[in-house]
Amino acid sequence: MLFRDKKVDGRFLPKGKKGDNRWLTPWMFLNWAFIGVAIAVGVLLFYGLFIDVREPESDILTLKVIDCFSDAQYFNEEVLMPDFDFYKECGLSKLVLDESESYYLKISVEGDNQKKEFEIGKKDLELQCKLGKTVSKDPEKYPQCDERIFKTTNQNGDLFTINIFTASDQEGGRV
Amino acid sequence: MKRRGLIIRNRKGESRFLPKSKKGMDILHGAVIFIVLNLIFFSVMFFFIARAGSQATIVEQKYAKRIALIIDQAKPGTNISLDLQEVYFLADKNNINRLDTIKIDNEKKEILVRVDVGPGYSYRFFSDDVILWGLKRKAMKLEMEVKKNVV
Repeated sequence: MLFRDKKVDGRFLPKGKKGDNRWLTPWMFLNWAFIGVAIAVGVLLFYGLFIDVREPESDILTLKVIDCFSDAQYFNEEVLMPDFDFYKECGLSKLVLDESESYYLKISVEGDNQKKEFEIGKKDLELQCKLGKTVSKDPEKYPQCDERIFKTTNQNGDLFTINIFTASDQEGGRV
Repeated sequence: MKRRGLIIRNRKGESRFLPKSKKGMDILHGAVIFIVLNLIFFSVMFFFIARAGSQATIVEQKYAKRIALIIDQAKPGTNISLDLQEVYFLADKNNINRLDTIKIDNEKKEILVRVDVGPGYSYRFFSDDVILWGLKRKAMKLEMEVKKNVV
């Protein structure tokens, strides 16, 4: 590929053409590194799509709580009992919600002169999600959350207000 | 006798197995190493691009998350049948046994999807229900039954 004159010297190489003999140089490895990184970045950008399901996940979590705190169309008053087992009654895994540090739930129930609160998971996710929604231009980089106020009555007609905040930051990954 | 790299040399610095004017052989050694390194480098790049280009990573991620969301949303007593044509197509292409493509771990609450050589993609579900599941190889479906955890 080199243009050569009659004296067989490379036109773009020094006359001594010692460069011809250098097969393994640091520059060659540097070149490979550049090529490798460029290809990897290009491919990852094109195919390395992250499917974000954190928002629907926090929605489902909220719906699960609403479903568990309702008994038919009325408020499930067992929730206010001191021995109410949140995980068992709501069919949620303690291992995942409490110990994985990828979720946060904050639920407060108020009504009929009674109040009860539940707080599960990593508390930091609430602040991060709110920061992402209010301050950041790129909220997808922050945990996703769902906040709802749910009003219901018991069989006597007493009103109960349930504030539910759920957040998810599970990204999954290769094993 | 000195040892330098892989070539055994005598006091005059001449290789025992090479002729006295060894310039040509040095160039040959450099060229061979250069070609071998090139082959290694481009094989690695080819493997990486082929794997990324097969969309295996996306399909693994998509199905792991889809199954997790379905389980999370399901109520006890629900029967679910999920089409796995896309998963089996890639698994067959990459010589992965169809029965090894999806695993649901009720202990760890984890779903593992694998359609290519590699560890696969895992995602956790938060439902405490017990998932009875099975893969239908010919019908290309994942059958699941959600049961309430009584423990």
